[in-house]
Amino acid sequence: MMKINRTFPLVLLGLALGVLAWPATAQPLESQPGFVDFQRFGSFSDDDLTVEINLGGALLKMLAVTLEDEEEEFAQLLAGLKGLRVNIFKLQTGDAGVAQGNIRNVVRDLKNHGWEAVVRIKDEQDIHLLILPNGDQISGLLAVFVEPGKTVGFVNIVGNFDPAQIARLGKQLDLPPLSQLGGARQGPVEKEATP
Amino acid sequence: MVERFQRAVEEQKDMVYSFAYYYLGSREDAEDVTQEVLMKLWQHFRELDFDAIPRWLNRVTRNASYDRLRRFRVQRRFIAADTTGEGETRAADRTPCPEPDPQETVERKDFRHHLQGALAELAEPYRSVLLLREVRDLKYREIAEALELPINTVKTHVHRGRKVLRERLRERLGESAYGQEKHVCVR
Amino acid sequence: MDKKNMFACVDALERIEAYLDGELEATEATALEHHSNACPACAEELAWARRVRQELRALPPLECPPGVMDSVMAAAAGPTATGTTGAKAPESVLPFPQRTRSGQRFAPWALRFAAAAAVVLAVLAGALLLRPTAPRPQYTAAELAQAEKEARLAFAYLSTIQRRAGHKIQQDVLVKHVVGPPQQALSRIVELPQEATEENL
Repeated sequence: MMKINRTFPLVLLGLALGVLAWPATAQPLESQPGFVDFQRFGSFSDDDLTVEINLGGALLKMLAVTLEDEEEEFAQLLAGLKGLRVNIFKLQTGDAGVAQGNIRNVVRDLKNHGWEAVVRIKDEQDIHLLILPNGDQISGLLAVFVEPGKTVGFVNIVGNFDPAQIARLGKQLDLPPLSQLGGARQGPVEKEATP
Repeated sequence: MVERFQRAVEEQKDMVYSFAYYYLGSREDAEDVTQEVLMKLWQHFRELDFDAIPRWLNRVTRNASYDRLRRFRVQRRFIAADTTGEGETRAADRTPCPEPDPQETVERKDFRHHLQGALAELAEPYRSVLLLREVRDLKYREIAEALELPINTVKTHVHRGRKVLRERLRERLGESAYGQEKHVCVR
Repeated sequence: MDKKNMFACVDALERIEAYLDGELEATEATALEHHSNACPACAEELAWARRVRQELRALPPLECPPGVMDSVMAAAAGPTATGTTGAKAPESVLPFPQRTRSGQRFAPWALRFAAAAAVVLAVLAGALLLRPTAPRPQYTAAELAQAEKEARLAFAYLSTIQRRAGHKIQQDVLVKHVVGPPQQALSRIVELPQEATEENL
């Protein structure tokens, strides 16, 4: 039979103090289950980075607020996200094999940690699509796209979302031409909340 | 325990991988299935007699390969090496072949490539029984245990499977290489 | 073509598989061989059947890639406690009060501890409610507009990947992960217009 733990209230007090000391900012994106560090796939040079999108939870929520009247479903999707990240690199000729090998190793490791492969294509282009299931929803999505001699691209969506929403939104999204994004490379725009 | 497990895995891993590779026609799928099967072996290792492991692995490997095939059947329809879009997958078109033997003739390499492709296109239960019978060289009794089928059923499946495989291979290689489509006794 | 020869061909073809397995009676095997010697079509069929079987049996055993073994042995050798979300299992669980030996539900001193715990919880709740919250980050209209474009681009890129894979996420993910999706949602699943995506990306 288990003895009564006389330190039970002390543990609870410790928890209370811990919660009080919890910083006002949200947990970092890197600690979310659906986050995938693109650096794991190999050290791509910054010079080869052609597109970088890094939208954090606070910004996405704010964006959702501004869009909720005009595009309710898109706003709903954005509001549930903690991160939306894209990196696209130029792929030097001859690097494709190494990149593909690294990608396969990381994908295998992700699958060992609960990620599931939804799509795997290997012909002229190498495509991986993985999700991290969380009940009826998804807490992470990773898409990897390799076009040998041209580009390698990574998309990571972090946060709880309904996969059906992404599918429905496919046609509805109004696409800006790349040139309107203000240059080839976009820096991160997430701001830290000031205490 | 870990050492015994390692010994078992060393002895059986190539068999598991080979079966999965020839069954699924893809190195990547075969690696995933092999890992899944060996992890399952680790989970059940305490319960198994060391001598029963090969038999256990025959069944589990086949089931894991079949499950994987069914799970990705929708996606596989869209995977094509050519640009014709949706359609039946030609497994040989995307199957990375094992390292070529320099002694082999071009004709034999081509034949083997088509054979693997035809094998990876076979429906169940023919695919399983042919791999277990012809590639793994199991006895009918062993195959019956692995697939939990009566022996006579296994024999029937093997015979029928061989015929279907030959027909598929003929289609791939072209009638010119291997005679008439229909058997006619000309005497 | 006389019926006797045709019948022999049919017999021969039916017995090829058993012949290859070495399961025919000696007399039947001999009869099949004699027939094949006389019938080019059956001889060809037998030769073809033999060749395919030989080639199947000659498929080489393959070597399992070392990376697969490494993962498996790492799992066997080291403690892991990962759940399906990749998060570690909880490391500590607060113990529950148990029945005492006398059969009473709670011992008296346990009740005192429970009371103390309730006080701590009340303090905690009050502190949380009264805690000053950090100000929300402020974004300019231009930053929001830029973020909107980037979000659209991110989803457009994802849709491009989907389409190049020739597959929609929802066909597999919905079936597996979404319980009882409304039929309307499924019927609205569509792809990006080809020209818009390729021009922009």
